[in-house]
Amino acid sequence: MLNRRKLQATPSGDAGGKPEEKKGGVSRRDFLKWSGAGAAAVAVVPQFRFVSRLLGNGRSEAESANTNGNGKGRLRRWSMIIDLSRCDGCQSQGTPPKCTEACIEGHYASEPMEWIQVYEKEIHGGGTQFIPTPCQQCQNAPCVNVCPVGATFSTPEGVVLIDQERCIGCRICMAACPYDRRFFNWGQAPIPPQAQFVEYHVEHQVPAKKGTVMKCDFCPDMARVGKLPYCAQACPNSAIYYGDLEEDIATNGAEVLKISKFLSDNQAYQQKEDLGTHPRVYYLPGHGEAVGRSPYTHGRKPTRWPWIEKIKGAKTWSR
Amino acid sequence: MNHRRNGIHTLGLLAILVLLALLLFSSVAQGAGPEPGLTLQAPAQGTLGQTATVQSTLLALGGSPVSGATIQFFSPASFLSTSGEVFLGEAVTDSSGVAVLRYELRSDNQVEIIARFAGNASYGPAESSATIAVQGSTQLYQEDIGVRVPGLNVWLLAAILGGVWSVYFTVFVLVSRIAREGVRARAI
Amino acid sequence: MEQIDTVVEEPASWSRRLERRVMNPLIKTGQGYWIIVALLALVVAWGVYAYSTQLRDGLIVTGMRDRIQWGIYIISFVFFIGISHAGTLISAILRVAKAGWRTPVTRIAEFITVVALSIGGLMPIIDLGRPDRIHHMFIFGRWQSPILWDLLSITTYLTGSIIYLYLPLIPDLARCRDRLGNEAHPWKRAFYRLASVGWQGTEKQHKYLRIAMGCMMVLIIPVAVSVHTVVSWIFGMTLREPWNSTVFGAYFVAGAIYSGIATIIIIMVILRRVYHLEEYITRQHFINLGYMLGAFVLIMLYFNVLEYVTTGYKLAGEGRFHFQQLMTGPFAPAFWFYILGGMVVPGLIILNPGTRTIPGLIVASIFVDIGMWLERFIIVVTGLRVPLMPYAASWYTPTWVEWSVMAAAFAGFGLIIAVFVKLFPVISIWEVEEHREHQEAVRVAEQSLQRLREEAAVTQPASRTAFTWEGRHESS
Repeated sequence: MLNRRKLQATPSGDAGGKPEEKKGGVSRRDFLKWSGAGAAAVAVVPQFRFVSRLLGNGRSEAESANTNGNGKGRLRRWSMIIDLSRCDGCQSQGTPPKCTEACIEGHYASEPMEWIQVYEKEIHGGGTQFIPTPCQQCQNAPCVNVCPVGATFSTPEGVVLIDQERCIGCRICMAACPYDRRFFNWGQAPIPPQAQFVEYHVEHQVPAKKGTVMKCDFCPDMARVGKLPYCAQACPNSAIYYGDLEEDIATNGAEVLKISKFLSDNQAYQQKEDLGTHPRVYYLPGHGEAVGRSPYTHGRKPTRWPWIEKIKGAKTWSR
Repeated sequence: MNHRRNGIHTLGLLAILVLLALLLFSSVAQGAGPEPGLTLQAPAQGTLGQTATVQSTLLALGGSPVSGATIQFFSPASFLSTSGEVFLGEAVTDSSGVAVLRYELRSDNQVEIIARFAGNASYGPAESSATIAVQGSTQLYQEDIGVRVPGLNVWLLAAILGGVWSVYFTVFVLVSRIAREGVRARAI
Repeated sequence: MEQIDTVVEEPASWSRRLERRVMNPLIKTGQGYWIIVALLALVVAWGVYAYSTQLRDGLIVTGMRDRIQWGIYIISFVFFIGISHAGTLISAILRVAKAGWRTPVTRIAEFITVVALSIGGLMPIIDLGRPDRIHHMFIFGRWQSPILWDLLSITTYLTGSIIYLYLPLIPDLARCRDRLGNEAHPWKRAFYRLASVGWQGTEKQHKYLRIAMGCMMVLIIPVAVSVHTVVSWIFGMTLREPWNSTVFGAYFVAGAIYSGIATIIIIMVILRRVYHLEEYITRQHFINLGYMLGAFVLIMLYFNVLEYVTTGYKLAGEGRFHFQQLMTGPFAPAFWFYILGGMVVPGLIILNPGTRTIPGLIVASIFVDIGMWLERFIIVVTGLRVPLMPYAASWYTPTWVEWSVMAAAFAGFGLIIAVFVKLFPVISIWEVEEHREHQEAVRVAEQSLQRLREEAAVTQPASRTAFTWEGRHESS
């Protein structure tokens, strides 16, 4: 139980120049298992009991414990950049957004959960733009601030996670999230046979637990084994970059670039910056023009949950 | 002094003219300009987070500097199984053919930097590279979130709650005194 | 001189009558009582069944979904916590202000506080997706969370309210112990003996009780204010446009007291009728409570002006959507009923001397309670409905499970009160007595003053002017 709550915090020390392909062959679930075994793991979910929690902010304690605990290397600071000029809502593919679909298939996200959701937003001049919206991974996260039991928490790597084994289902985090990025298990979501025996992990919320909140987990476990998150992998236009602000490097699977320069050169912005949430997800303005989309081509294919369609009698709900 | 400098100037001008003529001729003949020499000077060692000054010098065949040429800087890197050259920025050579890139060292290992001249009408492309061995393991990216107000912590909450509950306790003591008094009064 | 004494009832006989009147229900129970209790218990049982389906299937049985993820449960939570504020106000503030007329009213008010708090405190637990993990609040509790502030402040307030209810009960419980004798059931006698902690009414005991009550009546006011402020912060600490308001704390506290007074009036009318307490709870008591209700009409209207004029004038951000959905949109009927039915109509009823009667006040109070329930509905549901991202605004339709649980909450409220009135005197006998003694003393003093004056008038007519300041007593 204790080991399972531990997270892998890989130092980026030797990863800059060398690819991490050593782990590339290991499947995600295998990796989860061995990280579950506790190898080189550093506790991130605060395990402090109430009294010791009284001594201070649990989050900062966890952070200092983590950084000091392994003085060897630096922590990753995961981040995402989404180039909206390359997002056409998969209009050109004639399919629902591939990012959403890959995320649903990869995490067995149940209907109506779209951990990364492609919103179509009106822009000036009568056109629209598509905005793929994962959890914004706020650094001043309103959800983390209000959680009464620390079930949702920020990792030192900057990822906001939910521990569904701790969540009491009060849903104040959903009220607090200004991006509508949290999903509640109103009933027992269907569990596909292949997810039945997966060991639960905060970084890979499978299988779903009734009465708890779920959301995009930012896939740092995949990044640690040298893989892009499902959404970034699946994007046909390579519009989604995943990166490490510590090393100032990001990739969309096709190119590698320097985050700071990329952001500055392209008028990057964040959603609802005025709220002071400090997201880790950046956007480059656009409406799919780089991939030939006209802003006046409205609409996209509705999201599907292909794996649920294969399960007979699956009980789902709407948003 | 002046006379001598003038002499040098005219000489240099002549040389450049000849060179240009030659270049023009050769480019017409071969379809590309001659490859100029590009050197890259970078500190051999660096500390993580430090801004390194990387200097590249573009010299023509004869060793004379090429000014106004755009030099691009790259660093080969691999991230999440994707390898490629990270574009670091570009600079334009000055009158002595020097282009300078100021670059913050963010990767804590051997950082290879490539300077590249794409070539122009007069010169062919050129490339040069250097490696910086970066030391250190400091965490560089920190986000300053929140405001720390001294005294505004859980102890304040505990003090308020403790105050209220100690009054409750006082009342409890008073009720027990009433009870004790009752026993005493009954005994009388 | 003799004449006056015969008109005034002997204090001892007056007390005996009060005692009988108040204590009789503790030993005699009619059939109607059991019918009401059975009905209430049935409703509670139905609510428990509804909740059991929720436990089995999850919150999917409710009408709440991701976008409007709070509903009837949280609305009821705010509503009941709101009602609980009445006890504090009527009892503590009037006690601190030494308003004598409060004495027959305080016990009911204090009891409503305790019951409403218990019921209200239950609602967020019913709302939990994982009630089986409620202990996580204690194991992993984060003091930075508004939910934990709620947990702490409500438990503190509930404890304080129970103490505050209990302290003035001690002398009455002692009286029950001494007077009811064999008429009461043996376990009831044992309960009175135990609960009255050997109260003999000695001077020292009175002193200790006075100190204890003095501490509690001052302390309970800020505790009560903090509770509803913290309740408002469940909403106020989020980044939702309609909830992003600094006035929320005060607005909630005022609304809480407002609905609390209305509830006290309703409960008092019922108990007065059932227990024939017309002699002690008079029309004047209702009128006084009506005036308090009227004052809070003005305060509430003022808060609504503050809230909606500032946001409606600027229409910043999503403010336009919110303002529109309240004023002319789908919530307009509820909103305008809240403003007109929940505040303006009760205000007019209280303002007009012709309707400032007990039936009038009952109507006003029912309007206030419905209006205030709608206010909480509006705050919770419209606040969550404002779209955060480019999606169509969603809708919330409570299911039978939620309505059943809410009905059970109200029935449970009634049920606990029904149990209470069989265990405790609904009027603070000793305080009413004390107040009457005080009034008698004042009356006797006035009478002797009048006699003195008359004598003086006979002997020295010229000096009459010296007593003219007492003229209003002469005329009355």
